[in-house]
Amino acid sequence: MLIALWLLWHSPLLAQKVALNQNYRTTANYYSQGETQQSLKIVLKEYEKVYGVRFNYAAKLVSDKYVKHNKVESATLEESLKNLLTPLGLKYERLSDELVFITEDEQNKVKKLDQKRIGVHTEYTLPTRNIPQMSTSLSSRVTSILIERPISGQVTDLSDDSAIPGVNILVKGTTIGTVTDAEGNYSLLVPDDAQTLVFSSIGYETEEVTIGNQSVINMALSPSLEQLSEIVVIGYGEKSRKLLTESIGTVEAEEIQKVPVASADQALQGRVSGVQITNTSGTPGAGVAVRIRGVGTVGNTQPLFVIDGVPVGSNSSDPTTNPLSTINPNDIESISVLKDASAAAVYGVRAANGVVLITTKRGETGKPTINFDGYYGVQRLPELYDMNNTAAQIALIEDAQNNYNAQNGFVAGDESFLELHPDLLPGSRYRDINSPWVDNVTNNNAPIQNYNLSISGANDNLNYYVSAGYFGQESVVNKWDLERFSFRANGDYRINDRIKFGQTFTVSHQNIFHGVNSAGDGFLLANAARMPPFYEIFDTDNSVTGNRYGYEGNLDVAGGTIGNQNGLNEIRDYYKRDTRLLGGIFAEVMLIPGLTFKSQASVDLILERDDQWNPGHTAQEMGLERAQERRDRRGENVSQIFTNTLTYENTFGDHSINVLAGIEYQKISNTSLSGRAENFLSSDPDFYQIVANGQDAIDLGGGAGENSFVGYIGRLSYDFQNKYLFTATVRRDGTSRFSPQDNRRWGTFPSFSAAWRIGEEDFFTVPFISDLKIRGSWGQLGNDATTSFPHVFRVSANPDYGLGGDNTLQAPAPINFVNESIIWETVETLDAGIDVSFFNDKLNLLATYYQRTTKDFLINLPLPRISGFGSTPANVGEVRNTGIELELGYNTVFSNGLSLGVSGNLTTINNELISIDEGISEFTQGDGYRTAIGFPIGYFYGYQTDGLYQTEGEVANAIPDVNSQGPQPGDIRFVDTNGPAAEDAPEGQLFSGESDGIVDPNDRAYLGKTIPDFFYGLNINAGFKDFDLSVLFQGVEGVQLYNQFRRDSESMTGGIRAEQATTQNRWTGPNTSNDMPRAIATDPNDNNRFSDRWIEDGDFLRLRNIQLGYTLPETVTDKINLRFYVTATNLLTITPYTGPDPEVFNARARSGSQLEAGTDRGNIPQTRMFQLGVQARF
Amino acid sequence: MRTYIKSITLTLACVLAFATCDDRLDLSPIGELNSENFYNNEEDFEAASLAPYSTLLNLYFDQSGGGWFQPIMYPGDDVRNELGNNDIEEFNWLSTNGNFRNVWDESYKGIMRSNVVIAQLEDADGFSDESNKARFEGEAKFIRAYFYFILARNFGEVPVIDEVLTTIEDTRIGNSQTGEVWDLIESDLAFAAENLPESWDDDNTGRATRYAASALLGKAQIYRAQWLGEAGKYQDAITNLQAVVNSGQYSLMDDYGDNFSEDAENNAESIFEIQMTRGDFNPWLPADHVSNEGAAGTGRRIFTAAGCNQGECAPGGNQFGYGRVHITSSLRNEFEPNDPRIFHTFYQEGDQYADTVFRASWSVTGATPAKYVRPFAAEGFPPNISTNNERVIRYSDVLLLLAEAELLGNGNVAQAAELINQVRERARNNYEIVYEGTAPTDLLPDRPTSASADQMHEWLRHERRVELALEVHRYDDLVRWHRTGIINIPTDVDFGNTLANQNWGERNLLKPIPQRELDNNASLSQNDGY
Repeated sequence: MLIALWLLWHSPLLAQKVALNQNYRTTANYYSQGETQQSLKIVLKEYEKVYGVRFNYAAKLVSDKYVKHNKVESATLEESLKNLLTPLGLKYERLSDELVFITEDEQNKVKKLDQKRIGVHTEYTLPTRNIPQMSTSLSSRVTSILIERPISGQVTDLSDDSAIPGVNILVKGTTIGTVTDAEGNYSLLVPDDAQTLVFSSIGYETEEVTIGNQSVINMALSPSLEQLSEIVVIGYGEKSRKLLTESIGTVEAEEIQKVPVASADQALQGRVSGVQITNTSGTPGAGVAVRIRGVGTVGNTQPLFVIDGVPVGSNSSDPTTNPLSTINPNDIESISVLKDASAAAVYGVRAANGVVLITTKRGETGKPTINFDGYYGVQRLPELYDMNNTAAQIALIEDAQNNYNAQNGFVAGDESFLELHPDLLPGSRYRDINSPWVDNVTNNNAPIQNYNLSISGANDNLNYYVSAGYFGQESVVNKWDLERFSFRANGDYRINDRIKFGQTFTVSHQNIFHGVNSAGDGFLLANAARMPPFYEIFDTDNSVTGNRYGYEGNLDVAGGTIGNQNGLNEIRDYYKRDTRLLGGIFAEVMLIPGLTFKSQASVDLILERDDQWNPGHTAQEMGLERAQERRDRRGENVSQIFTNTLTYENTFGDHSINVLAGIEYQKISNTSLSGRAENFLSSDPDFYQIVANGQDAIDLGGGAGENSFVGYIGRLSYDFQNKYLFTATVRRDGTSRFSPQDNRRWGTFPSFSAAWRIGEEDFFTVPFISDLKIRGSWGQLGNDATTSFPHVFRVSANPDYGLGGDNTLQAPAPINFVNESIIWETVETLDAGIDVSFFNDKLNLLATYYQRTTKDFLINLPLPRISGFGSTPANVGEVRNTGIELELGYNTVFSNGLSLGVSGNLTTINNELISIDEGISEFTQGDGYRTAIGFPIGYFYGYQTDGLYQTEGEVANAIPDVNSQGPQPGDIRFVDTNGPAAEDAPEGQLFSGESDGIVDPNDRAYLGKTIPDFFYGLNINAGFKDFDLSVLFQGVEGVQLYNQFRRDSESMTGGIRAEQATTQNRWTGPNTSNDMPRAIATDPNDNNRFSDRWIEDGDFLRLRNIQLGYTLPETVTDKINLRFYVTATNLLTITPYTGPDPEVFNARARSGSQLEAGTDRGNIPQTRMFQLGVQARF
Repeated sequence: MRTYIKSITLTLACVLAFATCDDRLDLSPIGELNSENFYNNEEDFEAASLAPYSTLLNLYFDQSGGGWFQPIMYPGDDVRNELGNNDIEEFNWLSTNGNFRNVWDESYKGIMRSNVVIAQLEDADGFSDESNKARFEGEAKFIRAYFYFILARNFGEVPVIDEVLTTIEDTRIGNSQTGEVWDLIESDLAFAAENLPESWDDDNTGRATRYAASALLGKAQIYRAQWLGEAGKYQDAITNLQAVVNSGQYSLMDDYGDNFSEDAENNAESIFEIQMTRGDFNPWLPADHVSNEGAAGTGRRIFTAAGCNQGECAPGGNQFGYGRVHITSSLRNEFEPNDPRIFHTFYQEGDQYADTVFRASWSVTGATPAKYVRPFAAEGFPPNISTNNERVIRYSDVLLLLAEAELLGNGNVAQAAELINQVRERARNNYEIVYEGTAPTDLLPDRPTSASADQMHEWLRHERRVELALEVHRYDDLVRWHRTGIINIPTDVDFGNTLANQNWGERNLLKPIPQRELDNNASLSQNDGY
């Protein structure tokens, strides 16, 4: 069929036909594929244009009414209006040639519920604009009334004092009325006996005012907080929220702009149920971990991001930065999160972790709008670690050494006798040094700023949105300065009534200037915190000629030599530049009424350049000998997407259908070339810029890769009377990642969903419930995210070996475990929910139960090393996530003008591994992230502790421990929980479950999990007069973290690196402590083994954002709408976690594995930000 | 332009006719070899056969010395850590120890690479002569056996993998049966001894020869005889070691120091060496070593050169090298007075060191290694990664092994004495080279052939210890002699560290299997005591 349509489109015959039908007109909704119906208001606007008339009506009569298409060849205004209005219980009166009043039809008056009946929207073609005249009797009757007094005024928006054009003003009980002009002004003649004026407008609450003696009546309308009639972006289309059968969460532009974020995905934080967003670090541009409804896999758990139809994120070579960080958040119109299978299934093999659709802004009808947004702010670090000062650190070292000597009976003179290094003995100058290593590397009050200018507008044939933005953010930890310039041009153009085309393009350039601070991993900060306090940052004597930072003073101090990373960070200059072009063009053709063909070609081109300059330095300077070095790497990542869809929508009586069929082809490819060289004749940047100018060690590198996808998309949406809704989706997807054998590249992903709008039923008459819908879905999704080509026996030419003396030869070696049988994982989602609105939509509740079962889950499985490899992509088993999502919103406006909106969301997760495939056993990653049946994925697995041994007597009775050389008082007591399974135990049983009298690796047990029990958000919006306030709380509960920084810095073994001040509470005798063990060199009891000592609760409740805004009254600013605001981010955090920030996500785990996710290596914490901003609209 | 049009046409065809899209998924990795375009002919295997060798480098290059000096060298009684706080040295062996894991991981990586060469040879169809395949197979089997020998000595009855694994289930196999690893080592080396050439041309120097295989086989057979109590293996060992001696290809170098000098690599005494080629870079700098595939020199000089002790530093001391290895008094005392091998084994007070004089106070024990470090010239600083080859099997080792097999297998004391005396004679003759003077008359006298077998074995043990000191044989020697009852480690060995002496137990005859292996493979059992 597609071929036929393609040819038809191209045929000259059709083109001619289109050209001839110059007067062919259509409704605006024709271009909105997802809709099956159109609001009455829009239809009336259309009629205004066609018939050259103006309608006047009470907004409440029109709002909440929908009409369906019914195509006839031509119609008079009378016929059209009759068809349109009668079924809705409305009638019209024509007051003049140009003015038509629409009122309630008293004769046809029906009870409220029946008013929700659907009218019929007659589409028409008009050969000429020959408007039939109506009878004059109406006009004369009207004339007789119009002899009264004038009233005028202005209507404004209560929330921001902006003028509202197009507000309907009606004398209550009559058909007399008018609408406001573009400045919100109106004037009206009212009869003498008129009592009340009714102000109504779509999107605002209707207000009534007693006229009395007033001749000027100004009105401030409060925005209607009804959310349900909004249009939601879905995959390859859009849909009215009321008619959704799927689980989709959305965030709108307004909310995105409230939180000053560098990257759009951060804006989702706390706002959408089912979506957990974790910042990976406080570094500008750092990645964000997005988990939708738990963790379906331990492999790649990030959702698919789609920006204006372009799947992004999989074509960047650097997983530590964020694929969305180059998108200007100001340009975003809305974000939709497709959570269930029914919503996401159209994205097939990549949709298993959900899909995040980002839609950018387009121009809106009306006069051109110029928007300016700008803010400037500062970032501050939270309280960091409290580290030992020199005196405390030396005391700890001495204590550890003394205990060691005493325990082993060593005396001075023994080879193994430990004693304080001469540098630390009394009298040494080092004892007087207390260097502020952390302060030296931190940058409190680091600025963050953002400026954005956009111009948008539209008329009948085109709309445009162009913007330019600048974003700059410095890091609180030196040095990681991010700058981003972005430009956008979006537009739609209508050639004629059949053909429209448009484009979405953004160009951005991001430049990160940094040093050895490698972002995310917290290396620099953690290193500075642990620098021996008696080491100097700067040389005091400047003994080294040309010494830039100074190191000589620390050479072998106290028997150690630690590179001056603070100094290296200052002198090394790295640049990370990304230039990105993202966008596409599309054309849309109506083949026959209702049937639309859309073709979109998009590209996501990222040009990377990473270059660095390492000035040469000596060990005397930095503790490391290093030649001058220049590195320069260029990468080109291209993703091309070609999408073609056909959409057909129509209504047959009570039946509406919307059918989508499409094909998508995407190819992702990348290449890179890098060079390095050492020793340059000049250290002038203009010279060393060119790598080839180096004298030594000139080296070339590079890489390349490609992937492709082909998908066939099908979707059918059907509804009966807008009450019974049904959607079926299927996508057949092919991916190049897997083996062509046995059709492993292809998968079919079906889904079904249905909803019943009980609130629409005649029998449903609960007065306080204004809307009620139940919905459910089932479907399957795929996830192919893994190393490409796991089935190919790949051989790297890199290894080498020397023969014949020093002749180095390539020694090609296999680099992967070949897993031919690998396929995508399949996620089966079951979803049931209820949407209820109470009290005229003032209170809205969404509740959803979900169950996601991931079969053949895909992971980079740790392999026993006997295989020769560390890991391989593999299908491993089955994981299930179940939980409930709740969203509750309450909106009201008090009589004094105070508006209040409160919305909260909460998501519970129960994650459990159901089964592991045969041949694969339980496995462990990293320090102790275990995956085993019956437990959450990647749970913490280690020893349990039971306080400290306090006395010799307790030690004498200690249970033997294979990792201990025998405990002493002050050591940790590890618990004997388990033993090996008996000889006759069933196969697969590894443990006896009972104490066996010895502490050994069998005793490791569940210590916690990285997937929370539940997470939640609470958003409060309030407005009063010219002020507005928004507050966002966000929290996570029932989650644990592995505090690796603490494990390193409470080791108690007496090394020279600084330990935390908490070590001062250590055990020094019976009952001095029951949790901080004694200091002892070499840790003979292995107190530092992976145990519950390092696992902490990571729950938190965070005041994520608070913003107070003030809008200048219009009298002051006239035509400019001007708003000022102050914002504070992360002002308050309540948490039991002892590290600086409970929001921890291992950067490596962001794009890859959930394993090792909750490890705190001393990450750069989330900052507190304070901002001052201005928004202006002309 | 034409290809562009073709691409567009194909894309349109894909859109319009579903079937042709499938082709668009036919992509493969870029910039790599694969089993289709490689492993076909002799030329491919000239390169591919080096992959197993390349893994050998990984054992000697590691930022923390994980491959050799900690897990292999520390447990012996020749050296100790700079301070008494090293778990490995003190036999406080944990299954989580990363250094043991490194030995395990790299050994199995080498085995995998060998298995791949062997498997790919079967299917290679571009050979001019099928019989040429045997040589490549022999090389792969030599390296495979070398790694299994390391595994067997360190971890005992390890899983035996002698083919390319294709399913994940196959990677979950358990410990082998007693003797199984030794069987494989023997059969692999026997194959190599039969199919490898006697020597290589200059361009291929460094590849294994048939005598390298014979020497390693003889050595493994002595181990087997002692580990498993299979005394019959001594005869096999004699056969194989004798073949090396009889070949006439090898002899003791006049200058003992040539065995550790970069200027005399692959010399007449050297039967197999690890060829170190890429050097002169600093192992502590990140990203210098781009892959762990094996592409480097050795870190031996860095770790064994003198460092600092309580604030006193050797020239170029701690800031450049770790100075992690110190000579125990037990080893120093083992040397007979004026043994010239001392000069090449360790530095002590008064020795010329770079451009100054060595001071005992630089070391916790007063002496630091000289082997592979000498000559240590001032311009030798900083001691970056070195390209000096690591000698794996020297002819003197073969002579001493043969002596031991003759002694224990045949009770042939005279033959043993004669072999030992060859080694002593060369050492004796080095006095003039080292000290440029006339040797004292009683220097390193020949061992009398009339001694008892026990006495001769004691002399043999002494000779092995001083001749091969620091060449990472020592702890393995102690273990096998302990196993066969010749010595009793707790009473006979002074590890030069009180805690080491105190902590050593029978469990320390084997290392713990890495916990990561056990955690990911339920079929595998831990060695006793861990």
